[in-house]
Amino acid sequence: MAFREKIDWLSFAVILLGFSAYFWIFPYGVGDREGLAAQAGLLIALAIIFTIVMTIAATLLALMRPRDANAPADERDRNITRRASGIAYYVLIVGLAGCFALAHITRDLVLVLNAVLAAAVVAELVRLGLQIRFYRTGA
Amino acid sequence: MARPPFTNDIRTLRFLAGEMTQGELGDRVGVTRQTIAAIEQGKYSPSLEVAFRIAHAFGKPLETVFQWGDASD
Repeated sequence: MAFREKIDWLSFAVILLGFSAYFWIFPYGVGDREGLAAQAGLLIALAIIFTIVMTIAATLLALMRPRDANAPADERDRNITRRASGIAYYVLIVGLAGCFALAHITRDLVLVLNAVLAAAVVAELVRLGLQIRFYRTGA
Repeated sequence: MARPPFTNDIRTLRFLAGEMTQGELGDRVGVTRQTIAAIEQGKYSPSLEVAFRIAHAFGKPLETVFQWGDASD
């Protein structure tokens, strides 16, 4: 398995687990002030956890196969990234359109911001998932 | 993913070139071992540049390495 594919699997798993936990433990319905504080706190905690986990895991993977890790992206890697990003972009646009619609039917600012976050997370998971699929199928 | 409408003899040519590995060919061409494997298995259509680089690595003309699979197209 290519180094970039391993990183995609790792990122997919970390984002899926991290944001599943975020949306599971988020204190919904506590009001804008407390909600924004909880959002900021959880996102900062997630960013720190992501950084630590990804740095350690990527370093270990790179130490196991340093040649693969140092290889620049070739045309197939770039093609896979471009195709996956193009499709994920449409997912993000649809998700954001849903958020705009949500903003018109609710005054819950934190809920709308979480919806925007969810749209971005889903789009990123789609991008990573497609990259993994394209690597598996040859692209 | 549809297979490309052409076949290739990269595996045979690697064998004839002193059992060159996919990694060694990838290094000569400037792509990863996984990309050579995908091209070899017909899962990925390389760019014209990479196709020429592969042919050049074997010292063969392009049509010796890649063959159009369906004469009706």
